[in-house]
Amino acid sequence: MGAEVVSDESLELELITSRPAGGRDAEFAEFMAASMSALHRSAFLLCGDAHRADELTQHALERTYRAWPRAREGDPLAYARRVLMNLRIDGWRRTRREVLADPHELAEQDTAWTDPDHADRDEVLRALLALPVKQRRVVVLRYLLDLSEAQIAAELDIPLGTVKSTGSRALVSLRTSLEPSINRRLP
Amino acid sequence: MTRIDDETFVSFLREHTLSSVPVPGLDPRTVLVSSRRKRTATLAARTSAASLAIGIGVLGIVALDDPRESPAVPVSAPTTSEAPEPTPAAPPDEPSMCAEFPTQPPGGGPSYEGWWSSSPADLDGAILTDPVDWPPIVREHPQTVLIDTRTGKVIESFDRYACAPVAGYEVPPDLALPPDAVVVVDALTGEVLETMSPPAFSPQP
Repeated sequence: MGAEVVSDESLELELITSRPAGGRDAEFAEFMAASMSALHRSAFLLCGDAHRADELTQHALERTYRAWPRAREGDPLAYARRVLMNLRIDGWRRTRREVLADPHELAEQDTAWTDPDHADRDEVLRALLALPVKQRRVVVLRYLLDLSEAQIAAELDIPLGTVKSTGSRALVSLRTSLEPSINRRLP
Repeated sequence: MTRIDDETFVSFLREHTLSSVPVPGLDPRTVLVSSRRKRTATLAARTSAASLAIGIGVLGIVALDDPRESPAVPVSAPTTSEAPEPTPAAPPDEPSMCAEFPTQPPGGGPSYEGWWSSSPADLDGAILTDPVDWPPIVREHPQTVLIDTRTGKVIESFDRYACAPVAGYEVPPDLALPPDAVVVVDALTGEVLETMSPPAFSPQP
């Protein structure tokens, strides 16, 4: 038997890529090409784990695809980001049964990085992950991705005042965690 | 200790976090295939739930039309408040879930309210019809049943695809459930989502 075995997935891929441009798939593929990195960046900043960020991004994209007629009416990236923000960011801890180190404990450990930039980045990321998820969402959207407070209020469906107060509390927490080490590095 | 201003602090945060972001490990073509498959599965689930609900409705009508089953006195058709109608089929591009369940007929036992049966709403009380706006747990478990584990019987069930009770659900005999409780179970996966105290009184047979 010399027949070549073709998996369902590769056949499906072939069918998709051989289709003429147009329709939901073509539009969505174009949207993904333009937006996947931005979505993945948001996901990584929320969860701090590359693989989990991949999962969250994929999940958000799948749901956006399902609701594509609705998503494309407005800003599809905002729609997908809204889906992403509503996902259960820490869900994998329950489903995968992995034992994770507490970010607070990790932050207290002496870092043995020889690369000072790497050590700084690591410390900042851990401080971010130590924030409650609601604060983390606002910090990521407001301070790291530079969305306006009004945009955040709309995307997270919370009052503008809550965006301001949550962001402010989160910054105080981050300062408390990070300022000692920042000051140590100041000349 | 020097206190740096907010702007400098935010710049520091941005610089140190954005430079840590790895390249996505996703293949867009694979994501597209997966998206299409899940959409197809969702549509199939909705279609089968709606068909089942319609089938039950048709069976009910056939039974009423069967002279052997007809009661001696005329029976009025069930009203909306007595029996929820199956959701009309949604357009194929819009797999949807129902935010608000029609009133279910009283089951003769205690009623438990929670995310599984309630209508997601905003702070002003307006019902959120777009599942994107719902709490994740509501979206992730659209078909739920409440089981009294003392009797093993279903108290109520909720299917947001059909906007009706879960049609044809039977408690799997091998489903592991806690004793002496009322549990909310995902009808598809069997996952126990909530465990509550049972009523102090015995449920009516």
